[in-house]
Amino acid sequence: MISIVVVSHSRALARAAVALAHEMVPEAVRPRIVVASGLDDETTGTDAVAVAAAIDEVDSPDGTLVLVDLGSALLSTEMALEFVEPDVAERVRISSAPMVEGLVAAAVCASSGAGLDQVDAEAGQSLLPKRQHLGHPSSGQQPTIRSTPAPAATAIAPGDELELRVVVQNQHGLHARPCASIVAAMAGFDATVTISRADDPDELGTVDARSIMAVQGLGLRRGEELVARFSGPQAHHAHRDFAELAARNFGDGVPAHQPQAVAQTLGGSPIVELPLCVDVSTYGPGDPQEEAARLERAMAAADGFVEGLAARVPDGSATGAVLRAIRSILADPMLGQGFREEVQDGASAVAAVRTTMAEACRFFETMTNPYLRERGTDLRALERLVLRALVDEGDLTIADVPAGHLVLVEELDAITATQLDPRQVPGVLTRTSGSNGHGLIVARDRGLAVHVVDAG
Amino acid sequence: MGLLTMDLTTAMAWMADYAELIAAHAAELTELDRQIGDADHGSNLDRGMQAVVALDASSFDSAADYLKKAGMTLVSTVGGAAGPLYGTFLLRFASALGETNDAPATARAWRAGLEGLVARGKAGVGDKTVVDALAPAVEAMEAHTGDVRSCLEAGLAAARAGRDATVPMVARRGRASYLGERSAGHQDPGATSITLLVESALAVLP
Repeated sequence: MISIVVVSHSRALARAAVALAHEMVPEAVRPRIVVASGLDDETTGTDAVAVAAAIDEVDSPDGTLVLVDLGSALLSTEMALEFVEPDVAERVRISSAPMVEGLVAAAVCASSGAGLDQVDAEAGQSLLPKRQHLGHPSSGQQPTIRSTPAPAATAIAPGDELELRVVVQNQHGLHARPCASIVAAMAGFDATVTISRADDPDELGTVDARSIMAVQGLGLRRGEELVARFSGPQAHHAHRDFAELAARNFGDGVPAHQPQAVAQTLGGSPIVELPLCVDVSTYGPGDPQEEAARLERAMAAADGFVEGLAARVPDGSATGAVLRAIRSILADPMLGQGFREEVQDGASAVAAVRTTMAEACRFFETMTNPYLRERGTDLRALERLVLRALVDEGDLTIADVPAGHLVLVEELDAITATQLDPRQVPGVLTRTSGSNGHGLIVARDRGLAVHVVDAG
Repeated sequence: MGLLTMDLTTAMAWMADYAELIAAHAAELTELDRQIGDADHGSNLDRGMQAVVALDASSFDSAADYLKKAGMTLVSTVGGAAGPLYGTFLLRFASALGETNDAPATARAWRAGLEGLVARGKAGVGDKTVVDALAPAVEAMEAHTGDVRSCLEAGLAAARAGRDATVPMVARRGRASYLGERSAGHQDPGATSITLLVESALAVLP
């Protein structure tokens, strides 16, 4: 994680600004922030030697961002870069951001593990929300709804650039959370993604879709239209995921109507449903010792199966990382212990798996972190895998899917997504798939098209 | 040729004289800064120069050593923009002091200091800053290299003219630039204090 140095004329001001930034990030993920401000506790001024010492103190291979306030703060910091070792100086950026806004933005961005360039860019954008707010007076509480509503998402492709126009349906406009969803969804693509307001025809306010501050700064309200543009090697993937996200109101919940983008892309392909439930009606439990032994074998089989899947994906791929994460969930002592306790209490292995997995799912669902909440999908996938290993102890692969068919699946988990061949399957229709879900990550990594459809 | 301009004794006398001049003009400099800045130039420089004259004289071997330490002292004690600016000036000045101590060498040292200061503050002539006095002073020194005294005399005259010329200017750098047109009609504090530095250099010539 990068470090941050705050250079202000006033030590009290710098300390207060750091306290403000700390409020925005939990202690566990906080970047290191040190203050090199004031000549002493009362005397205002900046000291290049003190700035150099602070830079040396927090120096790490990830680099350091320096936030400065007025005049000599900048001169002293530039001078400090001449005092530290050249290799240290190379890892330092001086931010042009206003100190308080920049510090808060930088602390938030750094805590996500972003690199120095990205944190610097994010801090540099930190005035945008305020500017945008003042530039779009909040007098009009009524959203600007066009007389002829544009479709929620339509795609055209002029040349090598893809464009997507989306009318914002979110009740509170594109506030922080939907903006964060956009940034997260676009982060993994090798593509340039920009967003502007449709009522800004010259696109002077075009921003990078990977900057949460900038996207928020567009100040898009309900009923207003955004224009997203995609270019670069993975433009199509980014475009598709953006459309998928837009159809779900950028994670704020699906609007009442069926997203049209999905309807358009179904284009006549036949659909086959992949059932997820495991038929356990034939299962005949043995005594507790037998059940415990079967459970051990089933868990080993499930783990071996995921290991086998992982062995077939490229090293270093996102899919490989997801499968490793899923194996580590299966290896979690909490699960194994839960299984064993249930069996000792007289439950069958099947019931033990179901009870324990349901408990674990509930545990994750109480979490506020969306990434953790969506681990429920992984648990349900593992539950199905272990149950299948219990009932037939045979092949754990998914049912054969006829080539050229769209696959309809209730919930797209990573294990299923790894087994669908993007060359055979034109797309997956799923009813639930969070933007952070491992199934979606795997699908994206493997070039599998995913469409989220309404529960109806 | 051969007249020593910058031995350790002269360098210390220069700084001591400058400290006295700044102390005497601190109120005036701060008042100039009150009109177009943040009213601390005189008090900041005074604090810095008092720290410089408090340096232990016995710990230096040469004028260059001493002036480098003086520059670093200003960097750490002035607090305002004058800290890194004057600090850089003295550091570069000291680094440019060579074996010969004649008028051309004097002009070269002042030139080096000016270039460091310009690189640091990124101000040019006409921005209503210290550069408006220092740049013409250095040019005048470079044009009068017969002997050190006439070199510095020419420099001082040019510095004063440059300082006076800042009065009608509109500030484009530093805190005064926030005032825009309202900065016109006031003499620049930095141009004033650097002129005193030339004055001290001349005053302590043996």
